[in-house]
Amino acid sequence: MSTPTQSTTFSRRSLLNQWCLGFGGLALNSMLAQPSFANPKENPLAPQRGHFEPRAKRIIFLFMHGGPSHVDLFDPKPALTKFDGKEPPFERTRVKFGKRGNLLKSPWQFRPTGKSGIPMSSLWQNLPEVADDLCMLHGLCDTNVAHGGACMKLFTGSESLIRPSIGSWVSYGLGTENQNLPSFITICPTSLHGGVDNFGSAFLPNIHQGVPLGTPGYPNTPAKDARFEFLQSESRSRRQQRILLDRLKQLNSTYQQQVGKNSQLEARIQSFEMAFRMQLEAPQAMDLADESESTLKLYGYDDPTTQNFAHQLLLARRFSERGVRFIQVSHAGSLPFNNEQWDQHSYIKKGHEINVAQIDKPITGFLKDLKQRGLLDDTLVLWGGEFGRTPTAQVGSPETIGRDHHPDGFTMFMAGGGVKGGFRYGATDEFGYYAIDGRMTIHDLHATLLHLLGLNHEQLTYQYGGRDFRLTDVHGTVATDILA
Amino acid sequence: MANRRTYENSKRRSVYLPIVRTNVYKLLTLFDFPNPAFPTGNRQTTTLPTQAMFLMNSPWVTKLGTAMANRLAKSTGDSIERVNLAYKLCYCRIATESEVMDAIGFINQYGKESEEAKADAWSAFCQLLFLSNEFTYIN
Repeated sequence: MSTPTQSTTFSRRSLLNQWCLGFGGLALNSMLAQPSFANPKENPLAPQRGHFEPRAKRIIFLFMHGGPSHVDLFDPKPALTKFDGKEPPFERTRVKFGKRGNLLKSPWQFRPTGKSGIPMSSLWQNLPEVADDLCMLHGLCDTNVAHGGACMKLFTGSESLIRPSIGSWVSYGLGTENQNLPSFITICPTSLHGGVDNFGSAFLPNIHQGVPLGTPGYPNTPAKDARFEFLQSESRSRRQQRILLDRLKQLNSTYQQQVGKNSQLEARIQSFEMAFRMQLEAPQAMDLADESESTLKLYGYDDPTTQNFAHQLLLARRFSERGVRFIQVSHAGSLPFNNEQWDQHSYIKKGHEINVAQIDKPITGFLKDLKQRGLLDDTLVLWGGEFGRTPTAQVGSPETIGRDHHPDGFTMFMAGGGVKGGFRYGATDEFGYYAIDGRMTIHDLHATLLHLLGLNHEQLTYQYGGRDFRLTDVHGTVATDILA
Repeated sequence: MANRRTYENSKRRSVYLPIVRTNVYKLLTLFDFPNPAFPTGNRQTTTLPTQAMFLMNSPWVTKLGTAMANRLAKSTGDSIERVNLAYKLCYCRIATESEVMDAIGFINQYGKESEEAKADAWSAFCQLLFLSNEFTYIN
């Protein structure tokens, strides 16, 4: 059969159709009938039931990039004050990030807060108001001392291999409640330490990947500049787009009649419709114009120090009201002298003062706002970073002294969605070095998160490369003691 | 039905691009380029709404539509001939009569919106062809 010549009046396709009595068409149809091209589930994002009754319907993860120091924020250690400057009387971990000095007391005083007496350092001026909603987890401990591996472990369950992120697993397991928005949004993410792989779907279907709001950056995109990429046309009105899309539908359905039913073509047609709906719903979700003055003040949106993080939290609340399943917010890239925000190898005093000041009021306002809207009951809020900081000093002068990376015992907290409020779970030793009680590895944390959403972490699996994978791999125990 | 003659006359080209595993080109990632860090088998679908948004809204694709519209305009002033040329370039076939009528109908309807829309109509039409399944998928 000759290849078509210049004045083409027929295509190879039409040749096959006409001359071979549809032989080409037959071949095509048989290809499409193969199992590997069988119809995928109608809509992978449709809301699904979990394995059992959930306590929370969504997760909002407040990620503190760089490793916030537990002994300076939430885990008081009188022994550090007593033995300040002395050599630690115990063996340190074999794997360390850097040279470690002697014990270093916290520059701040601790006091009990709320009715439950949750200890907080004097850095926190506002957070004490919501102390009785917090479930403190003091027994976090894992193995990776470097940001890259620790972040990957925190977000994907694996410190070295590319795996789906928590949000992707959650989207895969539960779908989402609003089909006009992504199931998993990450607001102002960093591009460091795993970058897009930290909100990627790896081998899970790509529809479950996290969609960044704001280009992943180093430093991070400010919240006011954060956009979904290509959400709006710069040159065409919505009306024009609708005419265009209607015509596109016509073109595609004509083509479909020629070619026959095909799931890939269907998916493509659907993707344009979904994009069009997203174009309407997403800007509405992001527009703060209908927030009251008092709400904006509550979050600290009116104060330049807290505005960026307040903006992120407002967006997170608005998305969760609209049914987004997993939302991540990143406190990262807002510290002028340190792109890894909480990573105070030096200047622990100055650095943590600035960091807390940026988030104290916003988080307090955010939790209060969720509560009064009735959202806190079925929303699980998680606060924390990839590790803590050493109770010993990172070598330096008294002005510049800091703390090093420390994964062997650190603190995170949860609020809402089925966890006890005003509760402390787990503990570190008297120096805050090793987690000795209520130990939670990242796998345990993940197992607990999935449990709160009504998912059994051992049953939420996906087959890839001949093996069933899960977020917790072959590990993970649910911390049942924290469940309300 | 491939034979050696076909390959030698093939109008397909190979493009070699370096892939940095931790920083894959955005356009590739958008179209679900398999993660270079691990093997990936057959996937059922790699279509995402973010792709649709890119194709509809990105300045780059819009520019391509305009470039093609200019090409059509340069070759002929007759609307019917333009439509046929567009179909020949994009779909390797001529348009049927009803397709031509529909296309011209679309141009007129689209251009009614405003002066800008009128100037944009042929670009929109060309971009539309790029977005369509017939253009995107090899049969």
